[in-house]
Amino acid sequence: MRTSRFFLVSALAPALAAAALALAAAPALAHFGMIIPSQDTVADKAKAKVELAVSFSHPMEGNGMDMAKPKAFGVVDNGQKTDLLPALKPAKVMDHAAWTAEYTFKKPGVGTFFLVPEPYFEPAEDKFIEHLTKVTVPAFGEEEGWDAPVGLAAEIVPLTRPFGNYVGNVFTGKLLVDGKPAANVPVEVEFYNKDKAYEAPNEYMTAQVVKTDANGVFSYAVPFAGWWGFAALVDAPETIQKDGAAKKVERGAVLWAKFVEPKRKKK
Amino acid sequence: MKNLILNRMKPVAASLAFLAVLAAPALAHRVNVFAYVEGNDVVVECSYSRSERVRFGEVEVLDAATGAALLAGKTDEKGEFRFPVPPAVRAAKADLRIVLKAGEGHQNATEVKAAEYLSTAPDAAAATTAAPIASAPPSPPVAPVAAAGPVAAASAPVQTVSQTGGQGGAAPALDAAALERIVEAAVEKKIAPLRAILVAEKEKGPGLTEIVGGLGWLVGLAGIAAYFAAKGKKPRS
Repeated sequence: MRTSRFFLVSALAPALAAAALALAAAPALAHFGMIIPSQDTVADKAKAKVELAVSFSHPMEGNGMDMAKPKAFGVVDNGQKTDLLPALKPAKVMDHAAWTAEYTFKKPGVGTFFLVPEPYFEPAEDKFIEHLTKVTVPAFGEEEGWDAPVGLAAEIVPLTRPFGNYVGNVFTGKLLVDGKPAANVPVEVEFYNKDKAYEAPNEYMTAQVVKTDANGVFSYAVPFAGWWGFAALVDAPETIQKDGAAKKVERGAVLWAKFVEPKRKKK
Repeated sequence: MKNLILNRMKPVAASLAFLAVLAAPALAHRVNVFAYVEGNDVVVECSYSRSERVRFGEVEVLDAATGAALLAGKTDEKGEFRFPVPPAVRAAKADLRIVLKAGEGHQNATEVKAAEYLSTAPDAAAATTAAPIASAPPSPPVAPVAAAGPVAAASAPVQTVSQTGGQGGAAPALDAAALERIVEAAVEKKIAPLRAILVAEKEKGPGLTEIVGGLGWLVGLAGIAAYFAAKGKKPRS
């Protein structure tokens, strides 16, 4: 009898732990609109096709959420906008509904991919979340134009070139809301923990947090290699009606950038 | 005395040159060279950035496999250099290596694979444009020189040239250099696949013999180490 109870408890323990973790992770932190390209830079004409994985996820914890078809998805290169919404195909990211698109660079350029999702209702927070997301991929040596805003309702305009960065670099960006610098806004920073290679030592470590200064500028020094997301979170001026009530809309300006280890000479 | 001065000048000159390189405005500028195929032409775009083009930069086109210089030219004000794929190159299906020398030690290179130009323009296009290409100054690979006397051995190639040239009329005579180029192109065409095989072999990495040999080395070294280790342990009388 004693042993069987012991077995029962030991069987339940992981489930309980998982539940506890889920609760700990439940706070608002760590929703991220994501656009992750298959390569951070394009150098080779034979490998000029970039696959973009578009999702709404918890990048550090590696948990996905189902994502409806976005309202807008495209790429801007040198002021020229290309609609990629028709190119989006359903896909799975972190075991949840997500989207994927292919884009081939034919000439030197700097492509900033942008995403405007359908607002996602988060019952735990009783509000909608809308993350306007960007990622910039340069091709064939061109690098001019990475600092141009796309013109989203909320947008991080990089002050650090958002590609070709080493690990340890300080990333600096400026938050524009409706085209104007936004002060005192929290920016969540999260690592795309692909393959769950890392583990946050405690719940505070899942997302890192910095704030924009009086000029809407924030900085973050990147500690290890991979894709890092920066999400500046503001409340949208509008609300969305749901179940007879006006729900708040969290508007996130998200930017993704990859930070890379230097290659070491083989000896 | 003169020598002494010269010798003293050398480091100064060297450091000056070094400084000049450092002080160049394009300090951290990479120079970009990007080439693509448009119809029968290869278009080479040279730039420091979208708004800063390489004006009048020297472009050299080489056979990527042999390194043989094929043609050369300069970029225009927009940093562009355009050249038609020479028929001999097309026939040899040679990959092109395009080197840009933008001055002040700024150099970069890119490649245009044969597959790129072969897929965009049919051979027929090459045949019809062969004559104007031959007369264009930067790319004279099969320029027939009429002044040269007929060479006995050249009769067959002359015929092929007149066919591909498609000009009709009397077959133009060939000089030795033109003939040589044609033969080279033909041979190149025949041996290109062989070269590809050789390169592939080289890039395959260590073969079985190398691996076995390497293991042999390891065993041998371990043996020597074991020998010395055993020797060290022996009690000395």
